[in-house]
Amino acid sequence: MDRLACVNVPELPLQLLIRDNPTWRNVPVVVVDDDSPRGVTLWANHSARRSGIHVGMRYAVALSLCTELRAGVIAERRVTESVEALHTLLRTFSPTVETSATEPGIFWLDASGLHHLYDSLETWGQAVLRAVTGPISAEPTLPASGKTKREVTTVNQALDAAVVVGFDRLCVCAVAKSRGLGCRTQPLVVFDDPAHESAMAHKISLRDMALNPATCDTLEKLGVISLSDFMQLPAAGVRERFGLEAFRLHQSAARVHPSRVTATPHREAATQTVVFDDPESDLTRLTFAVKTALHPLLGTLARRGEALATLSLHLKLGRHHGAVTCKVCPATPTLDVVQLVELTHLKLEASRLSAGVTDAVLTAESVAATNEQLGLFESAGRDLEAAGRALARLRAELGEDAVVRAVQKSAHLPEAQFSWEPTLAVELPVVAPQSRQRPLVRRFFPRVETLSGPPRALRNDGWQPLGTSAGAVTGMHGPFVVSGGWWRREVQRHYYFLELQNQEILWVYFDLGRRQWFAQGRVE
Amino acid sequence: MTFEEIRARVEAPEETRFAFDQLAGRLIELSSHVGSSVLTTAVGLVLAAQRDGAPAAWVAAPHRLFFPPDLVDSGVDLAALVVVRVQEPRLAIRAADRLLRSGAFGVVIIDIGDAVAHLPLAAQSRLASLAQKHRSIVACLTEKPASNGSLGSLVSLRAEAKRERTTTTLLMLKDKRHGPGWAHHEECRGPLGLR
Repeated sequence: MDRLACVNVPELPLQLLIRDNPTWRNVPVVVVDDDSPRGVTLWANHSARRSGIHVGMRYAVALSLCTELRAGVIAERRVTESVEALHTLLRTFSPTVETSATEPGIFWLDASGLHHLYDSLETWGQAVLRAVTGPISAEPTLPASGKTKREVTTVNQALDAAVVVGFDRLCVCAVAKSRGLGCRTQPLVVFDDPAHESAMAHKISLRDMALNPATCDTLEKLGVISLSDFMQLPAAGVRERFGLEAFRLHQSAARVHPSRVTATPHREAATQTVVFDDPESDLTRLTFAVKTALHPLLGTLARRGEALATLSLHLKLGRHHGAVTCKVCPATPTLDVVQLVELTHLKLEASRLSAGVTDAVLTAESVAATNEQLGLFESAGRDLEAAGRALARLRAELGEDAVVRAVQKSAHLPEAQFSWEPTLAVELPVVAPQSRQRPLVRRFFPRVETLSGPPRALRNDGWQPLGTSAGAVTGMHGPFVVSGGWWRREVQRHYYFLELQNQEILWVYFDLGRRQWFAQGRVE
Repeated sequence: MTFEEIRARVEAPEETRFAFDQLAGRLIELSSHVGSSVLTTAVGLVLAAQRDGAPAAWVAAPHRLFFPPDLVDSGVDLAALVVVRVQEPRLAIRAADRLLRSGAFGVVIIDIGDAVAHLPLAAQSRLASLAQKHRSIVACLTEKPASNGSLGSLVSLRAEAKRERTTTTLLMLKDKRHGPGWAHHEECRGPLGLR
């Protein structure tokens, strides 16, 4: 039979806050979303709850109930980092570790077959518990994980935890949750009998199952206090009356879904290594070598939907000079190479390396990136803002009328059918699918060229509007009469396309007012 | 780029070799002599870039511009086509450099007439590397017969744009990817009034 285990690090944000403030361990403490009177309580410890403070309460209200209350803010990013660090730690005990998507601090481990490596599952459970709750370790305990020392020591910081080894994921989770914060009695439970596990789990109070307090209150009024009582309710009715969250718990308890552990993908730190043929001591060359490695590194992060928060540079120096590690921290997580190269250059300049660098290892610590950051990343698409800046430079350099775009207008005369208008920005194109053949495009002469007219008596050499080099007219399409401007100065033109001997096609017109031929353009 | 991607590019059938994907990242030269279709071909590149979702830029001398209604008829979105009008060839190259460096343009057409024949190798190198970096096409339009050499060794593709009535033909005189000798044909229609 498959064995699994649940590791519960209860109220993880609260534990992180108390770890930051060790003197708060025995006083009422809450984690709030904002350090202001209107901040909402997200987590409350046992002492605070005893004072009547509950999750969702405003900090000002909570403080009115308990004057000794301590409060603090724990950023979501920090909780995520702690969960990731714990996940990495637990992967050294089991190849399959699942992190709870909804509750930070809950992990399931596949324990099948591990009794071959350890004396018993109890010994294995003790090892897991020691790793999570053990004292701060000065030495990294994860040589193969690829994590830095700082990350490992973040994990081993005497967190309260419970480990339950059993057969069913809900049952082990329920029993692990019943061992709440500060409950040091029997933090390790190993079940050998599924029936015993089930019986114990079904006695667990619903309040320990992280159900919504309002739902718990309603259920308590109906006499439904434990998981066993809850299981007797009809599934359809649970969803209708108590919502999706209660329904999911009911489904889990009824073992509708298979009770197996699904491994949460482990996220390897993004790293790049640069190896120099000869020890490199020139700062500029070193910076550009780092820049070359930064492109793929940021590409990896962008594909993961992350941005770089800290860049660790581990520089191995020439013989007998050891290594230097420096960290580059941008003001905000970024995917901007230019900014990182600039910071790296400044950092290297300040480092004063004692010898040439033989190897450089770049490691990125990352956080989830915003859509805007990902959109700005080079590979994500065309940067219209950069285009706007380029156009502004060109306008400044070449003049206001140099950068234009064509705007079509409704008019009869060709020169009035469009205008060149200055442009400041570029738009993404909107192109309709091609439905018919493309036309040949005409080059437009802004100043019409005067042509010699056809001779009165055409001899063998015919009409040569461009002289002898282009040859005589072999075909003539027209006339297409265009007239306008009768209200001001009347224009009457007869347009033609002239095919010449040398394959050229001229776009010409005969101006009736001036009795003269002009070239308007050429088909190219 | 993986080996498979490189092989797919090199072994692309002739009809797809003049598509945006095949030309992106390259410095190309479109030559014309007389009776050419160089402008129609260049507009085809603009259209291809716009279909790929990229704006386009046209750097040209003020007297060498196209008739915009023909571009609209071709399907080009004029709002996404920036035109930079410059008198001096030196400024045209600088403008193309700036536009490419922004990474926003899928194609930059340089149409400054005979002056482009003296495009310095350093400028060609810069334009080619920027095109490669930002997956853009840099197309230089030149006026010279096929017997003349290309602009330089950094030109990745040189084609002569010919026209016979309304059929345009691009004869590849130099192609570093597929080799010279192949041709690209397109049947067009005349502008309104030309049968």
